[in-house]
Amino acid sequence: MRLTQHSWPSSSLLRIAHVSPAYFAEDSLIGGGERYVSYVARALREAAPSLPFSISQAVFAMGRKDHSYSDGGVPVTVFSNENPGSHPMAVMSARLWDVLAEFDLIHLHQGLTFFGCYIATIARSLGKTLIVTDLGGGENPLLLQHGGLGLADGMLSISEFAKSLVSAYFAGPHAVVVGPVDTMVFTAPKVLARPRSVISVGRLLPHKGADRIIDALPPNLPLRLVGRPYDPAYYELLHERAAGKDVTFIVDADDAALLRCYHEAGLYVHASTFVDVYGRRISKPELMGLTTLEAMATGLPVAVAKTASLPELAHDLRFCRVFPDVAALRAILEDFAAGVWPEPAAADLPRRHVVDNFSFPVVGRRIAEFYAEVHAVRLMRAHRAQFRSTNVTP
Amino acid sequence: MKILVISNLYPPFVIGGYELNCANIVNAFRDRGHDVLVATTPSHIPGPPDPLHVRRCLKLSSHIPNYGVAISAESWLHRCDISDYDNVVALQQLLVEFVPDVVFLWNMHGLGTLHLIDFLNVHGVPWGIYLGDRVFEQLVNAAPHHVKAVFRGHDPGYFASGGIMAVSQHLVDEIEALGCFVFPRPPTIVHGYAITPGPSAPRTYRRDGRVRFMAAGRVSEHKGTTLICDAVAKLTAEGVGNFEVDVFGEGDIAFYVNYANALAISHCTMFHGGLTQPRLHEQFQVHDAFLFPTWSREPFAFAPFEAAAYGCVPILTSNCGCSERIVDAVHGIKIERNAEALAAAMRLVVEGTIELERIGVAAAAMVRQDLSLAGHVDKLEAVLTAQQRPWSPASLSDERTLLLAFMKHYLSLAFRFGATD
Repeated sequence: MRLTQHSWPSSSLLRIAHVSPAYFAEDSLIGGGERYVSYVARALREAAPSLPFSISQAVFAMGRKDHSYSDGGVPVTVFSNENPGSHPMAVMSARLWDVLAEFDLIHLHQGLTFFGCYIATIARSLGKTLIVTDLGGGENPLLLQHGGLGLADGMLSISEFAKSLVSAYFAGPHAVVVGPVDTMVFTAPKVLARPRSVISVGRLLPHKGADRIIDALPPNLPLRLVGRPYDPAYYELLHERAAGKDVTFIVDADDAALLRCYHEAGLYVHASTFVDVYGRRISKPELMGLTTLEAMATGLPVAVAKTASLPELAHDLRFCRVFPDVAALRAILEDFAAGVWPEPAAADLPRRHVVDNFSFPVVGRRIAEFYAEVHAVRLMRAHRAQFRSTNVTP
Repeated sequence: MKILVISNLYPPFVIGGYELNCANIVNAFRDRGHDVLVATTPSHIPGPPDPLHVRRCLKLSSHIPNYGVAISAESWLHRCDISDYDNVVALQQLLVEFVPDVVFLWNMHGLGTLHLIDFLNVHGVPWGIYLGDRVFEQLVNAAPHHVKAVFRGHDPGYFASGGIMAVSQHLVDEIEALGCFVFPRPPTIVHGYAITPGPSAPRTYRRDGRVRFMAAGRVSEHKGTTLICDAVAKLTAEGVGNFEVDVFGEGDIAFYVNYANALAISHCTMFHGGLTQPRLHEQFQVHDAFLFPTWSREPFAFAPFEAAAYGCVPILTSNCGCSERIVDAVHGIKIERNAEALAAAMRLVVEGTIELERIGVAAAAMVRQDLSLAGHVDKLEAVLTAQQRPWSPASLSDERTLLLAFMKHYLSLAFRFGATD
């Protein structure tokens, strides 16, 4: 993907609105979907100086009460939900009609939801360029089976796996851009002295597969599970399975503590599964695997499950391994414990890989280029239709 | 101008004056050389074949029985005033085919009004609306805020952005009060008109020493039929004679015949059923006064003015829409809406205290000068002309046009009746 002769005029300003049903904060939601919006906005800001056109951007999200703040220099406006219904993804605000009218391009996040339907109809009614990203949260039949996704001008998927889930429902421009990761926050420790210990970060929910790491854990290899326990029964199950093993639960880590945990570990494991410990199937266990990229940004080698998008992050066997099941993970962990893998020479490769491919400036530029391409195509399409109409109308 | 007229009903199936007026205006526009296409709903009432300019391609949800159809009141309201996807599809096809200069909306209740207006706005199609009733109040109050927002129906600057014509300021005030919104621009008031074949002729009042009152229109409580009977009963009880009341129109006639019998006023109060317009005009010429104690929310009935055009003096409710054009004791008699006030006015007429001749002449002159059909059409034409602007049919041919309409329709249903997926 690159800027072409059909791209948007370089002398112009592209006004971008990010719209999301939630925002990344304690009083809203702390999840990958919400963090992604914040990351994309900041990535675009960092990429802006290198772009052949100017951008301005703002984030609009739904919440319990009206407020606004700045997220790394990007203005965020939160509107209170005006839908009295109880559906968590059927949130809306009539005020979005007015604020979105001021932008050229609307990037809809967590798009496959009722909120996504609402924003898609506003964007199309206002004649704006609409780009949709699926970050989970729903599989709305109006958008999928009934073709509503066709209201979008482009789709930006965060992995090939994510793309594969919606490609049957969208025939327009569709880009896969993995990332971004904040490589200025997720840095490597000053001294790369990786201990023989394992870390996994994520909400302690069954589909995240922490039980599989515990089951595969060899004796005398420490494991830290960092994340909030959202499911009490599952949390208890994890404790039961961890009996007799060196497992530590850290359930209240803030950003600084999380970074320390990364720095104090020697291997990151991402064990999400599409069939959880209770036998339940999960359709979208990992659309991207942001924590794996964050771990690599801190210099950690990673072992990821052969689940959903995770294998896409692990191309280089020198610091990435993929496991299909608990037995394979056990073998990887035994190699790690024995010092067989990764090789010491690969120590700085994970971070370099992330900085080169998934850092804010790199991903921001890719996304901006996609925006410009889609926007240019939509404008051209509108002009052609106008031309045809002018020459056909009696 | 190429004018696409949209009306929920069109003769021969009519409920009241709104759709008859629509047909009159359509004919008047065509007589002036405008290219008019009427989009309306099927009529089950037998009549002559529709002319080519009438297309019955819309679906009606109001004014028809719902026998055998399990539907909640709220669901019905949604279809009537918020969204009917089938009608949006029909509108899209009409716009593509006819490419009007302006769309002229009439009574829209039952067609899924808000979505149709949104569709016109999204595609930049100029439009105007003739408010003969509370169309906007209905669409504003027909759904919760978050449902209307799907069609931007929370914003009067959007849904009322067309050329708004209203039959009375009274109606405008009522819509704003009940709808809790203010029109973005003051609507153009286009009081009704009286079609008066032939010039005004001299006439005689109180022939044979008797006063002849008449009423015409729906025979019903809200039009004041009960008040007329009660007033007559009061007068007869007081010994006032030398008058009679002829009531013309359809409605609850059986009840009122019995009511008149019960009040012992049948000898002077007769119900004649409906009449054709020409026959009704004959009656205006032989009756002295027109009783119209209608409800206060009457937007603007035409019958009192048609009567006045022949010198038949209107006696009408002081705060209804029609009163805006009547100066009390100059063009008619304004009364409070109760039997006592109506009886008092009738008594003064019977006693000769009220100068029927003077008022009748003034009323006829006012109607014939100010409320002519030609003058009325001039005003409508001016508003529609002002609405005209270039618009491109291109967006209507976009493959996503109906997808957007489909999404809005079903999203509004999901927001209203429960999002489950």
